[in-house]
Amino acid sequence: MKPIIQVSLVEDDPGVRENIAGYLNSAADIRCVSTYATADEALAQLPKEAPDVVLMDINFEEGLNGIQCVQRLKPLLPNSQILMLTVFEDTDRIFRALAAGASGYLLKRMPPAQLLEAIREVHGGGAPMSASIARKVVQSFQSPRPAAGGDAELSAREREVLLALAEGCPYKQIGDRLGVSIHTVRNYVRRIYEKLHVHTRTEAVAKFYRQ
Amino acid sequence: MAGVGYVLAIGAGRAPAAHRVDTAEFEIQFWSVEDGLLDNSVTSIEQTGDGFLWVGTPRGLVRFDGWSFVSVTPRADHATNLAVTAQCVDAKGHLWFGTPKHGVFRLASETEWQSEATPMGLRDEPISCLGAGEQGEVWIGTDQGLVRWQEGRFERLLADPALADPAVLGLHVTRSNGVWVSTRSGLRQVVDGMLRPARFGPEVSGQSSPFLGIFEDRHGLLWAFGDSYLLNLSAGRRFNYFRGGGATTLQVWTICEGRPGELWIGTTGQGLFHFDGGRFRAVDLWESRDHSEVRALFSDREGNLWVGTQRGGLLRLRERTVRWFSGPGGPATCLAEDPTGTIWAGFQHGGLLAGRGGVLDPATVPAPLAAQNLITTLAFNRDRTLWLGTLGNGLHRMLDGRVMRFTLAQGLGDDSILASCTVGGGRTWVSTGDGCLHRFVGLARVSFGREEGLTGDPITAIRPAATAGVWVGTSKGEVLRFEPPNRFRRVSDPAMASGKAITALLEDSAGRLWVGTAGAGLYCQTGEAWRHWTLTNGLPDNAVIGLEESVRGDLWLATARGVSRLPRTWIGGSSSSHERLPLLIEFPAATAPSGALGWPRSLRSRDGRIWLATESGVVNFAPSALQPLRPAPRVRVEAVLADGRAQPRLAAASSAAALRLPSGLRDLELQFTAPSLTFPERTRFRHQLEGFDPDWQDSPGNRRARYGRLPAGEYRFRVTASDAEGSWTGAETELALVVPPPWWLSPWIVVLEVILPIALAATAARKLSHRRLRRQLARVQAQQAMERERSRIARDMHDELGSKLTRINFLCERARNELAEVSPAANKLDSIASTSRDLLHSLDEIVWAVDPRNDSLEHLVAYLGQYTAEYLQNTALPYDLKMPGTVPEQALSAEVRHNLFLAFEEALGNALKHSKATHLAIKMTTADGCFIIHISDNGCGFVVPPPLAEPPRPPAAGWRRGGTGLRGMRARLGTIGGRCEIQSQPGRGTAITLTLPLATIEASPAPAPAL
Repeated sequence: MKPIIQVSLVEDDPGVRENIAGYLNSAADIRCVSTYATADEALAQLPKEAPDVVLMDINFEEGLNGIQCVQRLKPLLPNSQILMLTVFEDTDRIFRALAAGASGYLLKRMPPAQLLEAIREVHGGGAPMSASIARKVVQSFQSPRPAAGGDAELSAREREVLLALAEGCPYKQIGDRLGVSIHTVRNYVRRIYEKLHVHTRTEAVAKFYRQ
Repeated sequence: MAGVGYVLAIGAGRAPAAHRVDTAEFEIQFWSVEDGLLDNSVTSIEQTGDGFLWVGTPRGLVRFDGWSFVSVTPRADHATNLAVTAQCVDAKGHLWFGTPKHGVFRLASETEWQSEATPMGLRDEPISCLGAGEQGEVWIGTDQGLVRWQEGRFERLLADPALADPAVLGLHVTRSNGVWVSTRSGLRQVVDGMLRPARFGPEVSGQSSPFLGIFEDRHGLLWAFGDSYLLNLSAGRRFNYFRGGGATTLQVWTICEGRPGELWIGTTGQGLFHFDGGRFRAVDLWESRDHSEVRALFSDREGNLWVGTQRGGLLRLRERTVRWFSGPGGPATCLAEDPTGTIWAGFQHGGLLAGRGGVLDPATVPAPLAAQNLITTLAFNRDRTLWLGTLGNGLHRMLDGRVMRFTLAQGLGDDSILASCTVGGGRTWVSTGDGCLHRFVGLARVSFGREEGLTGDPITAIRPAATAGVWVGTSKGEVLRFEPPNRFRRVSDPAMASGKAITALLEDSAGRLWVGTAGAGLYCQTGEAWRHWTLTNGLPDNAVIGLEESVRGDLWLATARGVSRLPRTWIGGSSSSHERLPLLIEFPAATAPSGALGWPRSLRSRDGRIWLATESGVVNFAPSALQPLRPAPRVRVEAVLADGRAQPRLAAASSAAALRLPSGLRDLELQFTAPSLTFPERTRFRHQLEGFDPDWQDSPGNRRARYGRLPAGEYRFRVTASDAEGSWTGAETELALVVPPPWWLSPWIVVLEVILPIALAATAARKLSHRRLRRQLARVQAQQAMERERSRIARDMHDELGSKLTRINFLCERARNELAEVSPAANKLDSIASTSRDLLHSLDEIVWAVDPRNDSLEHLVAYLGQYTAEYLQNTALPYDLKMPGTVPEQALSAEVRHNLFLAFEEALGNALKHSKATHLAIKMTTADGCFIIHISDNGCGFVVPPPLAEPPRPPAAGWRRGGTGLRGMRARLGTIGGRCEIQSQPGRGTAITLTLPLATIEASPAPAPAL
């Protein structure tokens, strides 16, 4: 039997929160173990719970926003996958969340079945990256920054995968082009995300030394 | 004896050669034929009293000033340069050189060579070696034997017993005037005017190998060297460390002394060796084999070692003053010295290294510390407690191998640690990303925030104050002083640093506070007044990342361009607020520009060295070695060119006599130089032509001064060189010049020459159209207001409408679940839910179109790609999508974006709904200044209607979808200055090309589409 995926939900709208929690619990292999109405609350409690997957709203009316929350939460929960919940495909904001440590995002308008599928995928090691996000990642790695070399640098292969994604290629096609399985492509994308996180932490420094 | 003039050939001025070989302890630079050396083989090297270096080669003699080579030929009748086999400088300071066929020459004065060959017929004897004695005598070794020259007389020495082969292979004159001579029959010594076999103690008698040479060091110790060994004759010790690899390939050729007790040994076959009194080490000069044959060694008065090689050119070994340690790669971020004097460095990509003297190794720390990356700060307490801060992973404290971590969970305000410092050995100050400061004494923590007078901005710099407390600098450019027990007082001026972060802080020994910023330059507070320097008044770069005071009291600055020094004398003497900083880059270092992580990035260790954490690792240097106190060299005027013709040279001593230049002089060039063998690039020159230049002029890098038509009159050319510190303390060199008046020059022409240019220089007043400027300003302001409004609308729609629609959607779903499976109400709820989802989708598009953040080509491409994927995702139609990986930066107005998007949407919609295609290809490219979208299908196609004759009416910029068809697509592209080409035939598929010329697009945003 497959282990049950423990999910925690951070969402400030009570209606949306209850509904999503309801969906989650309707699936046999997923359990919503906790819900939080604010990012601050989640930040205080989640490190103790260490759920498998955290669904995090990107917008909160009070306190920390979702991106700030991910930024602080991820180092404390290195093994949890964080998925952002958003109303719109706001690429800039989604990208910032991904860069801060999230592993993907869900549109709230998605049909429930897709939502569950996305949770299973990310828990299974998947790393969804849309073309528009890939483009942002490319730009991010191109931007001039203090770091050179080290663990925040993309390998040639990872760069190749990233560029193909940015050009709009689906995973399958990238796999064919590189002569590797779709699983391998997914691993590359995972690693790109990890490097993006390190890279972003590095870049975050700049805000303390605004020029 | 013939007094002869000499020809000085001045090559084109060239900068020091760029071939550098860096070994750990020495900086090696080499010069070859390409740099002006006459030949790549060097036979001898000498230095004369004026500081010039003389390099003998088989193709002639060159003089080197550290900067360029000048070929020197003793007399005009030698059409080709003379090969040089040996050199020496006699007791009176004259340079001698020997040749294979033309005897010996002596440089009698700056400009005069004497041929000393005639009386003894030395012309026929190849000269092999030269040596100078204390009383002005010169010993000359030839293939016929040994000759002594004294006051113009030559005397040949006889050998007793007679030598089978009289050739002298080498000679060495000791300080006590002992003369040692190497011959094929062994070593001889001059005793009572005869060459007699040399005798040594019992330790070395019985050595079968013929000695090749004798060398006396400064301590008076005699060394004998042979084909593979070195004997200390005074102590009777023998060293044969050379025997490592095949003795036949090795021979000691020459020896010279460096620092006291240090010998340099040149060999044939295995290059250069260093002997420090007990140990031989091979010096890795260059990978090339050409440097394995060392022919000449010379230790100059500035402490450099010069190496002449066979075919490998000339090399200079300079003690390395700056040591680099590149570490594990990636930028070094912070430095600290522990109580034992070990330097620790943190690296951005992880890694904590520790060591002494520039060699750092991974520090032995527990795993949790060793694994940290993004280390921002390090500090030590007297009891060896290590504090380590990270960006995002909290503060770590290590004592006796135990690590504690402080994070948000332990009540720290933020997990990002920015800076730290230890005061008085026991109190450690730590700053966190939330703008708070924490003071730890042991484990007890006191936190300081706004209540205590901090600004709330993150603190990027902390440094102990001389009396009590600390100085802190913020990310917004403010400097505060902690005043015990618990107040912070602002010391910076309100507008200081223009909001740039403070990246360096230093209170110097005179109590001045120095402040470096991330881009706003350098500040200094003396008393209450602040002084400020930027690029415009002498600072090499506006980002200052390190400030340290040397033991000598100089201020050392690290900027993004390199490391510079502000002399103590200048700091003490200058008080004017806007005096230009006399800064030169001492050495370049990729120190991080602003935006760099870590504190402190500079450090003065207890031994006086200065350390820097840079982009490419850790750098350290001893300020005293980098700035040797050495007088400025004396300048020599090398040549005077009048209208391009070299003037006869003046006797150097007779500077009183004026050099008479041709009348009607149109162009005057003076070439000068000064020897500076260690840091030639730091020697600067300035000159003044009295009677013409009102003041000193900085000379250009090519060491020349040029003047155009000079009025008739008397002039005095003065020139002087700076010392390595850049101050003009050296003696001046003067040259008097006379320009005689031409016969046709009458006073009224002079008057015209003066007045005419002034009359011609009348200026034309330019009128500025103030009205136009005002209009432009108003337009810009209106645009900015419009953008702000668009941002607000986008944000409101996003936050308000979006979340409420989402709520409707979820409420419907929920209500639906509560109803029976099939019922009319349930169907209506389903319908409401799906409509709200569609509405969200439409809203998504509108928000995208309105938001000014998306006003760029990149955003458009990304959005079109995303739209395509989403639109076609759930259809059965297979498709290929190809976007350019990157696009040029190009602003696109909302109008352009929106029209292009709608045309694209139309084309995609048509293909999906009407074409019955089984494959769709979408390709976006940027080429020839255009953005091109190509949409092609393999569907049924159609007959393309011709474009309308009358100009198309632009469709209302509304949000109605569909229905505008082909006409609409053409019109939309027309509106934004683009083209829409449609190619189709029934049964042959359809290809639509949307082309948007990028150059024609106005950068200014157009009004947002009406909603």
